[in-house]
Amino acid sequence: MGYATTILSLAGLNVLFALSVYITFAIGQFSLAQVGFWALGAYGTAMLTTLWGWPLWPALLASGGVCALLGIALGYPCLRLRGFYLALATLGFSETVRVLFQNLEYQIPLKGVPSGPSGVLGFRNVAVTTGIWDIFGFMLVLVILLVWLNHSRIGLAVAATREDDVVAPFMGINIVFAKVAAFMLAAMAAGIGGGLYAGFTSYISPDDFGFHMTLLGILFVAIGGTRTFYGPMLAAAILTVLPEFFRFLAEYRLIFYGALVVVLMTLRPRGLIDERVDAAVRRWFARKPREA
Amino acid sequence: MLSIEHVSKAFGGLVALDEVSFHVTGGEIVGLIGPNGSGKTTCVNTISGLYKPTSGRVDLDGSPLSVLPAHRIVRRGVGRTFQNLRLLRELSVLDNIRVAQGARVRSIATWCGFGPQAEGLDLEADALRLLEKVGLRGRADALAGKLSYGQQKRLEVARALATRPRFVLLDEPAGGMNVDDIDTLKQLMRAMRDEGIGLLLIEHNMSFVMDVCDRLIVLNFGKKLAEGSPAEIRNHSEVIDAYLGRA
Repeated sequence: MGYATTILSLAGLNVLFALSVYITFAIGQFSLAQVGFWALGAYGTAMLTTLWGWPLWPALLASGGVCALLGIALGYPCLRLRGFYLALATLGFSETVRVLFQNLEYQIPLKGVPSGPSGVLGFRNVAVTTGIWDIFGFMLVLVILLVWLNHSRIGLAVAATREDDVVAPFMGINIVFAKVAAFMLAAMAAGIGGGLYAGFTSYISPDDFGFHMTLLGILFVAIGGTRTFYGPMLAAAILTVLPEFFRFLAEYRLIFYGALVVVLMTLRPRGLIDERVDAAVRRWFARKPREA
Repeated sequence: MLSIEHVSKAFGGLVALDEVSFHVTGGEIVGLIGPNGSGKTTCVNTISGLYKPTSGRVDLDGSPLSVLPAHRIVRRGVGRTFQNLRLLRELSVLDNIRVAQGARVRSIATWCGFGPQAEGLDLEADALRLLEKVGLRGRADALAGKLSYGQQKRLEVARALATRPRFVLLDEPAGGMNVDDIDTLKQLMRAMRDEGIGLLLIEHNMSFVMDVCDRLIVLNFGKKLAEGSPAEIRNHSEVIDAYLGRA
């Protein structure tokens, strides 16, 4: 795979992760569970494709489906939690998943080589099944889904729940259903994204899914802005591609990455895409075609 | 008919509502008055489903309301406003109305954005008519948080109306309003009554209450102290002692 294709694929995967984090933020839930679902999707898909020879998409849908069910199971008890407490509970979930895979040993011989998850050593030789079009195809599906939701009454109900979930029921909104549905959708997106990631890298390890990845997710939505879905997408793309241009800085690269984050947050405290940018984008899309 | 039957609500050891019973019928304005802490807002919160009653029941036309979650009570036709403004400040005025209209959207197709006409509803036109009615037609695209105080109060009422309620609970809608705003509100409430909507009004402004209400309920320490026409209440000696005061 060429260098450009690799970078684009990585950017695409990060965009998928950012979208999954965004979906929970969109309804006002500060959830850090996305990394856990991402890891589950990655291991699930890797095992299905590598050990049992499933094709990529059935494996992705199975992993995504399991994550969706877990999302419902996690979403219900989390309804009572807010803010920091919700963040802590969901972070606990992600860490639990990570520790689970640190201890998971399940290897079967494939062509004489023992293959499968091997605890802290990770899962080597995952079947490389993900192509760049799988990543961008799924991204397109998610984007179409989100655009459509934003333009329907469902999007309005989600916005109302985010703004004030005490008052939302008095406008007829079933906030329990709305929040759990959002949790489920976000979990499924993360599960499928994680599966695509496993099929892309060929090697996954529990260390990939630690707190630093959670932090990255928060960075994507904070820098992109929580107002729109394309803000976090833009931030994820920028934060993946831009460091590539800093390669000449060698070991100082991360310092510049950090500085970039600080500068962006200072200049655009409400995110790259805030209300004003979004309003301009909407006007542009709503403009009348000029008459001939 | 919205009937409140022997409703009690306790918070720990504090009994905020004690065996309160009354009813509101369609097309009348009932005032709920009493000193601070007498349980008026608790009463509205219990009817609207924000709280579950500790004992007793709230019925709508004989079917139990108090067992339902808040969003289903709204869908049954009991709307409310909040004492402290609870608008969706980051959403436009029109979107505040559109969100509330969702309470009467049944079909999944409409929710998903495929034509409200499926249900014979013209929601967009309805929303604009409603804004016209409360004098906010010109501000439809403004953010709700940017409206003046009186305008926000009117938007709260319009938002409750957008759910197509048969009963509306108004928690101090005139609080902090000037005289002109109060006149507009009076007209609006009378128009609602004439359409057959039953109104339960919490309000401290006595001239407003006496002017607009058909019937009054007086609460004191969580108990119903008296019930009657404004004229009867004005001359009720216990009410005068507990709340109105002697001239």
